[in-house]
Amino acid sequence: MSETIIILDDDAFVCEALREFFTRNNYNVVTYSSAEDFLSGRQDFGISCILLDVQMEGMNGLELHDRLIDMNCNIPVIFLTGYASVKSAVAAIQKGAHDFLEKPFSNTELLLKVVRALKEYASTEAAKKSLEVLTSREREVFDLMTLGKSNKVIAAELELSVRTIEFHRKNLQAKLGASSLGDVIEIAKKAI
Amino acid sequence: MWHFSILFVVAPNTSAFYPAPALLIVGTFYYGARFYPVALAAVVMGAIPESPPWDQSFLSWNMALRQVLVYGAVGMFLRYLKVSRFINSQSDGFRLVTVLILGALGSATVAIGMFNYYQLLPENVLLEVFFTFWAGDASGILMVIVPMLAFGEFSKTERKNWNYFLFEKQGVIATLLIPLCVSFIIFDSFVISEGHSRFGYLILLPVIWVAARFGVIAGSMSALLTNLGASGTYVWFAEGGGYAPVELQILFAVVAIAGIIVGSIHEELNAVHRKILDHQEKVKDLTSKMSTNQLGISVLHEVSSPLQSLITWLGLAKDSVEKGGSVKQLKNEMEKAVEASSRVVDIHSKLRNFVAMADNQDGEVAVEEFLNDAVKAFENLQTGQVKIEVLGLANVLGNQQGFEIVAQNLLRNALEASPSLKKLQIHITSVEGEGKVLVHFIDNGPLIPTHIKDRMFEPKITTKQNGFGFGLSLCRNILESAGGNLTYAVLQGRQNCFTMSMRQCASEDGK
Repeated sequence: MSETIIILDDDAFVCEALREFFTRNNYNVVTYSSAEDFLSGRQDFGISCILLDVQMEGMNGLELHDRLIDMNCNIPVIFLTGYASVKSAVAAIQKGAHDFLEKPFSNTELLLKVVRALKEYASTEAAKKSLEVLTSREREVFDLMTLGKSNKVIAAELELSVRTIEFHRKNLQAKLGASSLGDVIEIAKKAI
Repeated sequence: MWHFSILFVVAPNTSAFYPAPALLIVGTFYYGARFYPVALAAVVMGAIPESPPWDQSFLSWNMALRQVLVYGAVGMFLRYLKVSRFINSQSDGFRLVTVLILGALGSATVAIGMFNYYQLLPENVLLEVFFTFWAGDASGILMVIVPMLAFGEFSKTERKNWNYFLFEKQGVIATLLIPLCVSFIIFDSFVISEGHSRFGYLILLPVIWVAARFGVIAGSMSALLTNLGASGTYVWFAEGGGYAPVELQILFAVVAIAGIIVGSIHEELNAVHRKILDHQEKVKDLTSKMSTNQLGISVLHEVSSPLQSLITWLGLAKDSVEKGGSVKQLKNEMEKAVEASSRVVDIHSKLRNFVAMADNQDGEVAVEEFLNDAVKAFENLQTGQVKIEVLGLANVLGNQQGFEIVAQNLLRNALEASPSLKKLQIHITSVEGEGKVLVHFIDNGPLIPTHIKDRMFEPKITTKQNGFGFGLSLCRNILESAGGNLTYAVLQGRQNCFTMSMRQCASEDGK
């Protein structure tokens, strides 16, 4: 399944141009002319990226972004705007937007940002998925490991022997494909 | 000044008008200690007509020194207190009056001390002389100090117009004559007649009125004229009258104090009023800037979308050329790019009109003229389809081209919204009232959809398929910058009514 670009812009001409551009670059493209349409017709797009116009009739881009955060939606959002005040750009990035682009931007510039956003999103999703294969005990050990605790401390906290912790640790590292504590922490940073 | 005051001597050693110390106070208040030698020379020279300096007694020199030192110190103290030369606040008024009264008290105390030390006066009259000195000096200083300060400031200002500088409004000099006349009448009618002298305080009324109306300088000037009028009447006509000299001096001091206190309160209120007006102007300016800023942001948003389309389509066309795409594909991409660029051009021409309008000076605009000019721009309108009815003759203030753009926009909206041009009827009526001229554009076309009605003056809100949605926003902006407004209402549930509100011209004859 190829990656999907979700375009939200109330300007039909912009939607059409971007749709053509991303289709030609082998992406799935869906366009919405308003935030309300997007929310009502939302589905699982898999690995995707939202290109979100800030100023739209009805619910604006920033308001929709807030709604997505409330809904625990992790799809990366790149804001597109005709005019971005520093204040609004900073606010959006602080809230977790992936990037902010001022119109007019070049096709290459947009493509680079979209590729990066999709890559990061894919990596995050992969990290999350890999955690799902851990048993509950392994997950407990994983959580304590990421806090930088030693086997001895983890064993004491979970009231298990140090050897048992070493066993769980070995297993979970194998499942995650992590060869060191550094790799484990890297996965945790992406997934949590 | 010493000798001028002799004109108003009402009893031995008692003048009803003794303004000389005020000169010493103003001098040191303005120039500080540098004025002391000048002041001493002035006091000595002032006595020349009576006796030259070398003939003056040791006591006379002592008295001269007393005046210079005490009143000089009063001026220095006022300088230290940083009292405004325009007495433009209540606190300045109160501080000035208090310091002057205390200064006169100090001077009288020193004088009586010397009289007592040199045993020049019998002990039983010392107290009476003390009060006469105090009240005489205080009344004289209080009467002339503000006009002197005003003169000092006037001499430095470029506004060489006494009437404007002193009273701000034309015709105030005439009103100053009223207190003068009143004081003559009161003193002629009452004070001269034995038994009615207690009504002398009535001379306060015109002074309070002038001070409350025109401020501290006019108030003090009226107090001065009133007191001069009254003392002149007293000295030349009443021949002693029913007032004891010291009572007369106190009355004059009170009149002068009323002028200063009431006048300084007026100045403070005036300053507050000016500050409020200034703040109102700033708020207006800020609102205008915010409105312009908002418009600028809207324009940026509007221009950015077609530009974005243009860039994207041109990029795709370039790829097609480089990768050997089909001619059909390339043609499609170029057509889209042209379409996007024509949208940019359209916005550009609208902005150009807006800027051209802003370049034109605001002025008087004839309502009928700009409405007729606006209608002329629509060639597809049938005769009688647009009815213009201008009630009243008043012109409006603003920019003719701007008003035309608004009227054309409203007409164009009505035309474009109407499914059948032939059935469309537009009725434009103009009415006047409360300093405004209201022009109603009433049409029988489809009503504005309810969900858009409340937001139709916001940028990017449009009912048209290919509209940019900033026509009405621009129109409202044009009218607001001319002090008017643009509103919408539904008439009888079936007619659109847009109302242009504009400021009515102040000229009486209208056209």
